[in-house]
Amino acid sequence: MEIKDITFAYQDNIKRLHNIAAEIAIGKITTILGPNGSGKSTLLGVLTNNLAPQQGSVILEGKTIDKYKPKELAKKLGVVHQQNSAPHDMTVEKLVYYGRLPHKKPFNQHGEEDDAKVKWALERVGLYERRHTPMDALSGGQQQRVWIAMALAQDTPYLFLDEPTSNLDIFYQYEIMELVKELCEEENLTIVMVLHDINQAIQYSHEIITMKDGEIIAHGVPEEIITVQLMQEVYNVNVVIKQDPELGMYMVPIGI
Amino acid sequence: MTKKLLSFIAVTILLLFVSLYSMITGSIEVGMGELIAGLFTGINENVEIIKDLRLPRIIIALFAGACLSVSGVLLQAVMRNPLAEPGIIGVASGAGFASILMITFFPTLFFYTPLFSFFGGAVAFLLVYMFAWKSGLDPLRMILIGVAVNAIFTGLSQLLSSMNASSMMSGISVTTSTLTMKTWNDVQIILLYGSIGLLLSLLVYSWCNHLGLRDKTLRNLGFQVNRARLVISLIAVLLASVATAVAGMFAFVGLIIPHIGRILVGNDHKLLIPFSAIAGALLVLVADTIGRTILSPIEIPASIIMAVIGGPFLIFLLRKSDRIYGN
Repeated sequence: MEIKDITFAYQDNIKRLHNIAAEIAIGKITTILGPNGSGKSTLLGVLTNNLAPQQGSVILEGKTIDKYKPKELAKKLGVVHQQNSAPHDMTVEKLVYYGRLPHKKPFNQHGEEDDAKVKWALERVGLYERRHTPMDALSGGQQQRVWIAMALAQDTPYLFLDEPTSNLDIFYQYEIMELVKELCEEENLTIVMVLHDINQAIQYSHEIITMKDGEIIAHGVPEEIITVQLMQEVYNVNVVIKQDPELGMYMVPIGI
Repeated sequence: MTKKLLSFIAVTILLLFVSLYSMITGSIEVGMGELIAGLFTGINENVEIIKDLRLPRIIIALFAGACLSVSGVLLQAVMRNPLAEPGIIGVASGAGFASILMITFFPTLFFYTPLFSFFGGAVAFLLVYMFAWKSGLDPLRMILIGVAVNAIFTGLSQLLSSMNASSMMSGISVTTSTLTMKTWNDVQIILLYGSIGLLLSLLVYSWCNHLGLRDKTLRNLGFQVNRARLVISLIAVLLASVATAVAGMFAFVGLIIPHIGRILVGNDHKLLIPFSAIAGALLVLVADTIGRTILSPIEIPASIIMAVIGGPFLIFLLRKSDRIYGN
């Protein structure tokens, strides 16, 4: 996936993204980092065709994404948004079946392939046993996994996650991160996500894109781009970066 | 599952029972056997009167109730708001105004009244939708704008009626509904347009279900959200307009019935839509039957009874509205 010179503004004409250009590595986990208002969620919106850029384009398999028919694009990109809602009495399984929507022909019931994909997606996130549970009986972490299962049932090569760990306890945060890692390694998905936690990003990403004021400041392998200077520039925070033989690289903020 | 099935069976049986009871009760009373025999032979005078005066009224009450509740269900799906209802958000008064306008100026085009009121209802809906939409429909803002739109169209209707007070008798009363003086012509209208609307609503049930998710999520599933919204809204406006054009204004039916439906059969529109149709028909018929028998020979319009029940119900819903839909 190639991002070509994207410029984006909402109706107020304040530019939220300037000349963004990047290449998303296939089969890898790429994380977008940056302070609040840096444009990371906006960039994710543009990449998933929810926001139309004023300039530039996003090219997916040789074709700009706004040229795809809605259903065709939905067979390429699965997206888990930061905020989701479903009728409270909807069961887990029914919700995950929504992921099959792009594959459905009008007036057709779901077939064997749909059933198989939904089962696989539910097993993948570890909620197959709870498939008949209504959504409001699940914890926040479980609900998040249901939304991920829905995107998995879409059966797409790309998966986008907008702050998948926000509002979750640390155990559930890591549960989600481990799941993301497995999906990339075992199912060969290309994953792009927005995260807040810098250490989680370092730990789980193959590549990191750091943003500030609507521009990309650095893009590359975490070990190479995450430096004291970059953290100072992007977040205005003093940090110490350490290497540990077991943990790898990690970062501790020490003051402003 | 059994609770849902039982709910369906219960309302259906009640509906049949109330329909029969309503037919044999009133200023003219006949026995059940007499009624059935009379309907087939056509020689019983009392039954003939019932057939001419009471039966059309009952059929219209049934259809008006079904149309208004289903319209409520559809509007609630489109606006993702449990308080949306054709009466509250002004769709019904827009439709009512258009039909009065039509009857005042082109009384001969009587059969096409529903089409006119459809345009009136659509205009009112569009106004509410446009003004209340700000990256999502805020429930309170929607209700407030709905109240304003409702007031404007009710006012316009009253203005029109007082300008030509003499022709008022032939028209539709402005704020209340009178199911008296209904003929088989009215039945034909509501039967035709109402059935079309109800059938269409059954065809879009899965779209209504989809709209329970967020727009962004749906768009990323390749679902064309705005197209679905437009189609469902048009069906909802059609249903509300037909009911208003023939039966007049009924507040709150489209609010109470879907809400009860959600409790009894759940949020799945595959069940909610047919259930609301049956239960809505039942409610309006009950209101009308009570209205014409309780203080007989004085008749209380069914809509007044509905308003008296519905007002407190709306307050109750507003108080707990943040719990509905699970947000």
